Amino acid sequence: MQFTVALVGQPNVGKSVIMNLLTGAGAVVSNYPGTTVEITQGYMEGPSGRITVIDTPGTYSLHSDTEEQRVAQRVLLEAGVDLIVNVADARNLSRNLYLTLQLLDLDIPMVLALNQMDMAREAGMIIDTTALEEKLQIPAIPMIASKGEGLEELEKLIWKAAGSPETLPARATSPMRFSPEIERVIGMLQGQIEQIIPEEEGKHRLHPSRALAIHLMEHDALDEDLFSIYPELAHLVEDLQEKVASKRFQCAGCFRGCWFCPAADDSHPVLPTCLERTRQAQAITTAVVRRCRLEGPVSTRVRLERLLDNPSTGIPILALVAYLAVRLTLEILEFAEEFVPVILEPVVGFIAGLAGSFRQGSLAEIIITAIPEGVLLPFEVVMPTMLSIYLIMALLEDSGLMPRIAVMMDRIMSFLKIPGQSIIPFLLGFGCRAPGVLATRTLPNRESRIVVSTLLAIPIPCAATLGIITGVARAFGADLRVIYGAIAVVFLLLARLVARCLQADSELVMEIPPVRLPSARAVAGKAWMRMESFFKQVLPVLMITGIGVRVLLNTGILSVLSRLDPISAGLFGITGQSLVSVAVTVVQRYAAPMVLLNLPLGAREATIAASMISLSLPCIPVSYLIAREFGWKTLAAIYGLALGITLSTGFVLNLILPAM
Amino acid sequence: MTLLDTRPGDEVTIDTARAGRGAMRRLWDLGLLPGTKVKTVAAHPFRGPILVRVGECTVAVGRKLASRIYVTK
Repeated sequence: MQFTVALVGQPNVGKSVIMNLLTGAGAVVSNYPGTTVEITQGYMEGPSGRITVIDTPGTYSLHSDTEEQRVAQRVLLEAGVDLIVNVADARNLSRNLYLTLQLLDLDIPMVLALNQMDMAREAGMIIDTTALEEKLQIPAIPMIASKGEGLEELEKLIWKAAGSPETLPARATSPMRFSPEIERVIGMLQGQIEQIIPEEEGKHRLHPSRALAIHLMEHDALDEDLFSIYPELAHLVEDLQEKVASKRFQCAGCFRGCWFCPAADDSHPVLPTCLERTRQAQAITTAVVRRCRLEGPVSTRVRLERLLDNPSTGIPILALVAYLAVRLTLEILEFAEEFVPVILEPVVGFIAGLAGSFRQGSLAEIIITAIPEGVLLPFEVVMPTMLSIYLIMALLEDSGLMPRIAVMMDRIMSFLKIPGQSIIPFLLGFGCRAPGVLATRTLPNRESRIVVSTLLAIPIPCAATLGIITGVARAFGADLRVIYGAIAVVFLLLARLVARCLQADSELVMEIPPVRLPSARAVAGKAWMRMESFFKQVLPVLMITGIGVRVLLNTGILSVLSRLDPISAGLFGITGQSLVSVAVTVVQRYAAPMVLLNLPLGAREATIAASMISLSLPCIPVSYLIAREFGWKTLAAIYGLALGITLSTGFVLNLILPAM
Repeated sequence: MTLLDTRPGDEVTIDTARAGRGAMRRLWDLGLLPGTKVKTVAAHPFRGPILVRVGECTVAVGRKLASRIYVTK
């Protein structure tokens, strides 16, 4: 049986909880091809077969402004979706219906899962689901997903739809009708679209022509995803724009504000279609919702929310929460660092034993001694990192605390032109930078994620780096003020530079979801689904690179750098071998001081070398995560930047530092 | 007046907004459209964001953007 269900809904409606309930543990999280947006795919198993369920990213509307929105659209158009389960937040019915009305235009059979009915009731809303079904002409199921209520009915409906697709209500007309002027324009565009795009089975390939016409009115010519599906449309848009510009085309005022309008500029506050859709959603809501007076005492949840959203009480509480979250992650890491080697001891010991049977210095011996390191690194650092970060992220997200932390920090972070949530990755980075890079997933856009990851990769000192710095300072009397000063200067300069280059948009508009007690099952489910990718993708790559680099070090290939003595001394005032320690940081920060501590260094040399080490290339786990999250190109750019920074730091310090 | 001039507890109606396309759409997505009634809930100190109540949900708006959202009491 080939049947695909897509879950579509706005952020914070409990979509992932429903996904988890429907598909159970077998679901897989992956990046949608060519994007950094995650989608989850799983299966519902039943006596009559298997149904594919796709969880699309949360999106407020089907416009194509953000990557999430474009991915949601592409899933609906390209994945051959047979049924849409539109998950809506009953408490914010009117805003959620905006998306529902857009989805109805797509002519894909649809069910409305009206979630969080308990919260709506708590807010004094009584929703007449039958009336809502009549208005929208689709089935509506009231649900409280966190308690599993309504799940059975939803499952039954999906299985029924999959068993006999003909029972699905054929959606001939959407209840959304615009004002006559706008309908005239839509009709005209629809006519043109039907002429240039071949009709197949009564549909214009994937979109109904009406949906395409509305989409065109709401977007400018830059919607490249759409044009890659419908290349013919580009000409239509160009043609229309040209006609409108040369006034050969009479739009009789009805285009006012749509993207073809020659008058479309900032003076149009809202596109007419968007405004009318909002009005329609509001009208439906008014018709089906009855408000009752709230009785009884204010609930604890509401009281907590008031406490958190009042800056004078909220800021201290949230600061404490952020601190505890970071502390907890680092505790888990520390625990793993002690515990994991003990568990892996027999394996490592066995491999080390093997090494003895080879001639010392032979290639086999070098490779085998490198293996334990390659095995330990992923299990000791990366796996606990990922597990703890995923757990804590899921907790902060599901409890509604994460957005509140972001708002609290927004002002401070805006100096660096990055969103307030960045505080979490930064704080984590002071412990270990790998979870920091992963935690950038909570940031709103790719640009800010790259800015924050770059800062994590280069100037942010992790616990290991801080350890090196103090160790070196103690051994050689290096000047800590100079080292920390160099880090701070690079951090500030780099933040401004990268943010400017990427033009990260820091304008804050963010929904603050209700505070709630996260369900253990949902949090564990979320974290576990993501951990699967660790075993399938991260583990093998890390093991191979870890072993590879270790082999390079053990063979002594890197020591050829000592031939760089003259250059190194001239430019940076340190020996070529100290440069080796800079190179070693790539493998493991805490390997660097071993190199450094064995060299005869003066205080000045040590200060420069330690500064260079703390501002050098990111370690392997961080490099790998950056490549996985943003692509190898971004990683290469960061490596380039890091090399430039570490070398110029050495150069500048050598110029300005007096003899010590 | 703009949203920035409101105090916690004020109820106002949005007239219009002037912002870049992306920020504008995010405002519409969250229901901050012309004609919508909103209530200011809190203003973070040191020119931090403003929290407003729209229907049943709370939205945080940065000061820069809030100063470009025009409202009437």
